[in-house]
Amino acid sequence: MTIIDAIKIAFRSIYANRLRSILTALGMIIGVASVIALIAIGQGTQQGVKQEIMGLGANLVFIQPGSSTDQSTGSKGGRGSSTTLVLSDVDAIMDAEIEGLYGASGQINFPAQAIGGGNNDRVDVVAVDAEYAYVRDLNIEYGSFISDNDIARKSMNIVLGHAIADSLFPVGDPIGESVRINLGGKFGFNFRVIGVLAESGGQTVQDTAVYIPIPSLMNRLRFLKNPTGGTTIQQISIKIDENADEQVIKSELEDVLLIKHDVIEPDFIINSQNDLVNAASAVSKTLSILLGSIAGISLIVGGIGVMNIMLVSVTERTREIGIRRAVGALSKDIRLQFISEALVVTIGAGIIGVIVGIAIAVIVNGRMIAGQQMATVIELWSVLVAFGVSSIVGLISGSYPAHRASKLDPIVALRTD
Amino acid sequence: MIELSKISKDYYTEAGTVHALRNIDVKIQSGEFVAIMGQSGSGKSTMLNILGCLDQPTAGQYSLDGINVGDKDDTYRSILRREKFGFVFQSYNLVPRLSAVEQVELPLIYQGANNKREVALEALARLNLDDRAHHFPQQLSGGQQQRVAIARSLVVQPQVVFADEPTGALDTQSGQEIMKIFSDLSKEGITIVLITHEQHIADQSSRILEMSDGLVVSDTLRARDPL
Repeated sequence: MTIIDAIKIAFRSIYANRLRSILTALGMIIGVASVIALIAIGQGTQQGVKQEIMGLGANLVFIQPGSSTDQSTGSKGGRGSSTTLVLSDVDAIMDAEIEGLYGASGQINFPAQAIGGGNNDRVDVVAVDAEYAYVRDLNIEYGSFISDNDIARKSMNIVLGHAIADSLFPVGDPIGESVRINLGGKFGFNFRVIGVLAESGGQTVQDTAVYIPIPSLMNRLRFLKNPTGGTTIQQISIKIDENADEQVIKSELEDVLLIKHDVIEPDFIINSQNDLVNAASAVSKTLSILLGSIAGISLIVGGIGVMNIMLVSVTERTREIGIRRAVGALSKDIRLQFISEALVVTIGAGIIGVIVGIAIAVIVNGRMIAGQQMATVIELWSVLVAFGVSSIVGLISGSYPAHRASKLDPIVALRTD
Repeated sequence: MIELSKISKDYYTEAGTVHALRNIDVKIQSGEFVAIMGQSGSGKSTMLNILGCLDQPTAGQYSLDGINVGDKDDTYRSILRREKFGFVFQSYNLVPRLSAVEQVELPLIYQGANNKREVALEALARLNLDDRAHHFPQQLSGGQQQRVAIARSLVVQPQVVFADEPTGALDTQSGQEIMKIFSDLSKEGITIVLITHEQHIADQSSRILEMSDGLVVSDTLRARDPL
């Protein structure tokens, strides 16, 4: 018997048991489709996180305060809870003239309400120095960013993120307009708009932030005061040469700050953008593996379904097997027939599953689901793995029933009703 | 052509050993039309199955054209069935869901033949079933189904056709038609071994073997009735 004849016979009997074949295939279709769709979602999330971090600006190193230690109890606070990072650390870093270091900028972040142009919005206030726009690669759409002059004068000037400018001043030029920043209850300050940032294009906070000069708030907000008399900042961003050795720069930065802070153990944390990407990738990679495994399990369950149906089919068709043996079918012809049948079902299901999986990934891509912007990346390897595994599952599920069919005694099979 | 010597077949059941065939010696020449008669349980079906290489004897020698085929493996016996034998059963044994022409194509599929459809249609035409080629078993009368089964057995140009009570499930007239076909085949030189328990069927053969309790109790050569 030729393979083509075996496949023809397989199609005949699959067609004859249409409903059963479809239900059997459905298990495999769901398995294959979910492998592809879930891995696409996992990969999309991974890539989204990566882009978000890269969108912060290329080649950045971040320094944040370490955890605080209660002097009396010794208990540690959360990361970044220490007040050890101060504005003068930025000067110390710049004075060290580290090779490959282009610039450093300190910042303080806090949420607030912005009121202007008769509208209001929640914003992230970022108090920065004049280096910030350069270090973080910010693009100005209108006006200008905070200048050295603003810092020196402690001016009450403000630069708006693109989305905030749109929401407060949907019509007309916001430059020169007044914006009030409310910190809740008692604290409220009036600023004058001097610039608007260009749209970032990424999923970053920069569109919903507003920028003010650090010194403008220093004297007014007591929580910024450090016990040592400096201004506590929450983060120093450092721009480095993309060809520079990140590890060398990080260790030099550590040395500078250890001396400046006069401590042996760092009371700060240094992370590069790559560290953040790697940490985030590790999380989303775990997510991908988890989703893939769940989908893989459903593929195996589908395979068990195929084997089950094939066993039933062999039992039901015992007499037919006897007839075929009587007219000259070899034992291996019978085996080929049943394996072909299992393979046609699973490969067919694999093809449909690939189409459905890709369709789901394409449909979901870019949609908001449960408040999350979904992004999917269809991986060729996931398609090949899903399809390959379903075919192998088909081969395995078909083998045992086919073996049983091929070993039937023709006489016994012919006597079966 | 066919030579059985000291063939025995035992079945082992919970009730004990059943001796279905006991030391049987039979020779069948090429072109003979042999009718096997006997009560049910006399061993005639067992003998037919062994002759047709569907079953293997417990002891004894079965030589076909001088080759001992009794102890050959399953593949060898399958190929013998495929190339040299045709089978016709009382219950027709057609595969459900296959049309008449597809039934006839079955042996050709396993032979790996090329022009299956053409050859199968010719075989059907020979049995006046051209107009039923695309009918399914349930759309055919008993006599027509049996003719499809005969066409299937003939399509490989067999040396021997084995028939196990081919008219047993048919009315008298259809039965007569089927017997006419066998008689014609015999005239063409095809060896026929046929089981029946009806004398008037056996009367159309050239030789009657009567079996009882696993033994051949009589072996009669006879002149054929002109039909």
